[in-house]
Amino acid sequence: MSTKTENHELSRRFLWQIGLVTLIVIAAVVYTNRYLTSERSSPVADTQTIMFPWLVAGRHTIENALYAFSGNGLQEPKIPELARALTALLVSSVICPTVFLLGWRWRRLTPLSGENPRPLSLSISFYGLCAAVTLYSSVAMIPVSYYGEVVRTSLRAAQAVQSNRDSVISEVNTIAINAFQYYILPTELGGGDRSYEEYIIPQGLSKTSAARYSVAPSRKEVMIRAASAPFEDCSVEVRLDSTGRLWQWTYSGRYR
Amino acid sequence: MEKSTVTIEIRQEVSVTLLWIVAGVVLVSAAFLLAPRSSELWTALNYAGVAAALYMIALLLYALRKPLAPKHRLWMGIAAIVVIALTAFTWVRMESQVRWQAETLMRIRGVIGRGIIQNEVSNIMLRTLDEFYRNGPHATETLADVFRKQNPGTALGSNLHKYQGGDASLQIIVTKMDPGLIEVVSQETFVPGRDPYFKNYHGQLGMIQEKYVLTSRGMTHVNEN
Repeated sequence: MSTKTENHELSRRFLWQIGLVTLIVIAAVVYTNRYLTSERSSPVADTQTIMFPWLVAGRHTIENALYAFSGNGLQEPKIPELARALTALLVSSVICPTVFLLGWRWRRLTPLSGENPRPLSLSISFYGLCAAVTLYSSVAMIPVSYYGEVVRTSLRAAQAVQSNRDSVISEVNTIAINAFQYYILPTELGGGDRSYEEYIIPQGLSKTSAARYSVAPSRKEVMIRAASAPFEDCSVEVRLDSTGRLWQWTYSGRYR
Repeated sequence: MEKSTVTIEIRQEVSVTLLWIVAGVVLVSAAFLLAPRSSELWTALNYAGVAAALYMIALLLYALRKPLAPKHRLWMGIAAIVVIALTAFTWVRMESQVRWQAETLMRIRGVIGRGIIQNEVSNIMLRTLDEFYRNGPHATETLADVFRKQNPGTALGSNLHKYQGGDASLQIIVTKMDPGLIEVVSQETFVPGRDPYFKNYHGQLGMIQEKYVLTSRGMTHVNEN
């Protein structure tokens, strides 16, 4: 005997199945990624959200930069990273927006009547889940963009000071080498013959794009001062002794 | 034995939704997987992002078509455009930010490398000059004699860098040792310098390299790359 079963709610079962499969895939990817992440040692903390695929790519770039910093080769993205980025992109820009937008359209075009309200079903729940994900990721873009810009600006400002400080330290070292050479060389070769007293900074080294430099020499020691050119509150002072050793580094302003 | 048949009816809106999802997943996944392979995830993600943006535009045009009320089309259209624009903005800014951070890290590594070179080489050279003039202006020892005495076993091609903590990335090679002239070339083995095509002393390309020359008149320094 053949029985034909007609079920008008099957379409909702289909949505339920799509939802279940999607959730299983997401859970599997997250679990696999967590499991594999704990297996490998990474210098970069794991991202806590799977909604924004660019965080996965950014993490990989920083991880590679740290490897390069230590002289190790660049790593190609691993399968869990690829899966995670692709899943995030598919969920946030294909699956959820499609269900949300087409469901929204259908609801706008077939308004509810008071006598025949839509029953609560898994298809409604799945639509609700997709709508929640779509709205969450959409609304979250406002603070994410804003704070991203704030962090970006503050990082660049801090790095500008740090770069200037690095340049100043390097130039102070160059002046110290020049001064110690002056200390060593005899007077007939333009040196101080075991004294810093007459030392002056050569023309090209006294003023650069990073800082202005001055010295306070005595017989056995010279104090080198650097005043940052772009950051007026920043300066460095250091002493150079008769053995060529730089000591008592003192930083002020944002150099500290 | 009884057989039962289940007939599945899929409503039109569900089948359309499914078709859109399948098309979107295939399009975005294909763009992601067929993008050129690289050590960066950005290439694949950017290809897939462009595909996702095109898909979203097509989906919006489909979902917001008539007979929807104009006010609904307008509000949803504006909201969607704002979200797509913010997403694209954040995406692009994030990529440029992490690339900048990666470049900054390597620049810092370069500054550290040059600082170590300057410190180590000048220490070696000026110690020799100091000792040379300590003996007085008419000393019988040449610069090379003093240099050899202070660095026992040194010959042309010797590496003067003292390895610390397994750091083998820096090399300080003696390239000339005449009685009145000492020349050393120092290079980093993995930190890029200015010119990526510069040929380094040991045959590598594009790494940091500095040359120091010591004579009785003092030390000169050339930043080669």
